[in-house]
Amino acid sequence: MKKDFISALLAQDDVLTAERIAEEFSPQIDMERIFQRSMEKYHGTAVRRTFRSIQRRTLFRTLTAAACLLLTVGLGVGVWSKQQKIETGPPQHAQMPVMQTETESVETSLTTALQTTVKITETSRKQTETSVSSTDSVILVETQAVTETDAPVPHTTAVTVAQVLTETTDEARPTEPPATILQTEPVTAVQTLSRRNAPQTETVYIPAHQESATELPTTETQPQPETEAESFTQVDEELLTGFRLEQYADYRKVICTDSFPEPDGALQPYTILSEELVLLSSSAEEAAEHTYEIECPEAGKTFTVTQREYSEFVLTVEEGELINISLNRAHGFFHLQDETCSLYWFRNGEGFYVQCDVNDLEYLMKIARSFTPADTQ
Amino acid sequence: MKSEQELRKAAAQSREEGFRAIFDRYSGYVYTIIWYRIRGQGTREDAEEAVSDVFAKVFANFDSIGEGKLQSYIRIAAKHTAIDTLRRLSARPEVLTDEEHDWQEKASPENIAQDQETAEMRTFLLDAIKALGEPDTSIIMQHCFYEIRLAEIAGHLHMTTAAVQKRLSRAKKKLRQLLTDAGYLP
Repeated sequence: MKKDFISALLAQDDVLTAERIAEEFSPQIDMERIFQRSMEKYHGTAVRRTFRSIQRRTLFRTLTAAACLLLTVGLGVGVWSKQQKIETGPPQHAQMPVMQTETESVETSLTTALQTTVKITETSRKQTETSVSSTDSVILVETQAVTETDAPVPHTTAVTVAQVLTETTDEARPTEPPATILQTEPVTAVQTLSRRNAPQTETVYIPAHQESATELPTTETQPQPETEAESFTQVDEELLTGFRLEQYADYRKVICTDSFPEPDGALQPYTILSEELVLLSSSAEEAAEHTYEIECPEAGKTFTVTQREYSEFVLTVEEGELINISLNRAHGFFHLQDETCSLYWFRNGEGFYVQCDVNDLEYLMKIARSFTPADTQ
Repeated sequence: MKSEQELRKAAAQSREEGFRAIFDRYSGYVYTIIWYRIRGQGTREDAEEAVSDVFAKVFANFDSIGEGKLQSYIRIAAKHTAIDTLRRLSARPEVLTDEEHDWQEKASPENIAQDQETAEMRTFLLDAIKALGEPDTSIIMQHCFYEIRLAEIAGHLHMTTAAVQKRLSRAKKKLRQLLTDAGYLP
């Protein structure tokens, strides 16, 4: 292109000229393509950021668990070594009078605590009371304190302490019953108190056609006995139109609030509009579900997209596992779990689902973006 | 033209629609800032890639951009991205044609009059281009500044390429005459 005096003049590095041209003389180029590219980059960045934060959180959890494990092992070893020392040392007769004087009061407080804290059957309580001895009462009180904090690791410690104390006093009072009888009831109490724990991650689908529910990919349908009565708070977090997020004790539910149209068993056929993807096959063996095999030569992998009608959609996730995205005006989101990534999106009352390794999640977006109704071709 | 407040409101209602509105409002501005910096060294594709980088950055940091600072953020992001693009382009080995080399020589400050004088001349030129009226203003700017091919411009303006070529030639002649009359050109 031959450059003339106009080009030469306008080419000067002048901020004011640049600003003026920018304001008054916009370029006439195809901006839609650039916008789509920007959105792709933006979504890629957002997904990578969230994935990194999930990785960090997973690392933190692993480290915490490892620290707890080490602490437990350390305590166990410490107690065991102390036990060894006690076994080899002289009997501790000096402790006996103190134990005996406290027996009655401890027994009373034990019974009261058990009655007010948890519902234990009469027979089991009687069993507990009859098997209580002076030393064991002390043990049970300690165990009760642990159950109130609802922590499994200290509970283990309490049991260990019980064994130590029992064996310590065995020498002095050989007629006492073994402490293990006592341990059964407090453990029951712990379980009763901690029953609110919900399943970590669980997916519940209610398909429009029940007969095909068993064929859903990677879904594990589990009963939710406790969660129904559980209270939740509405999460004030942006989700795309048509979704509601509920926060429970240690998990979240994403619920599609769109009213799905009456399932009619007639799914819209789709195709792939992309030079980077190849639609290998699409099958509609039953009216309620279509599957599409899509090859991505760049990734060297084949992905399976499942399309079906829903009468209701509920997905249970942990905090931070959800990434909200928008796909060509369709509602959708990523669900990241450890090493797998699932992408769900909804269009015209139909749901689509595809899963892959987290490293391949960019291909899922490409697939979803290029998924187009076949009759528009 | 939507205000920043309206753009933020749109983004609060729907992320994608809001971002689209922001893009529509500022894409020409960003493209010009970038193109102004890289023209002569980069291609249109380089500029488009840089524009998408800028908006990806803006969208990713949208929530942290303070109220009333959206345009200045976009301007700074555009300039920084243009500089990054230039750095990348300068690392790319390229062979200039004689014509391009000749143009770059002309475009260098040494071959143009003093800064103050050329600044005045540019202002005069832009005023004159604007005074040409449509479609001549668009033809001159799209072809001479944005380096868009005549056929493409003709497509945008729903004209034939020959008609665009003719209008361009006439407009250039007119501008040259105006600059000469004003004493900017011999």
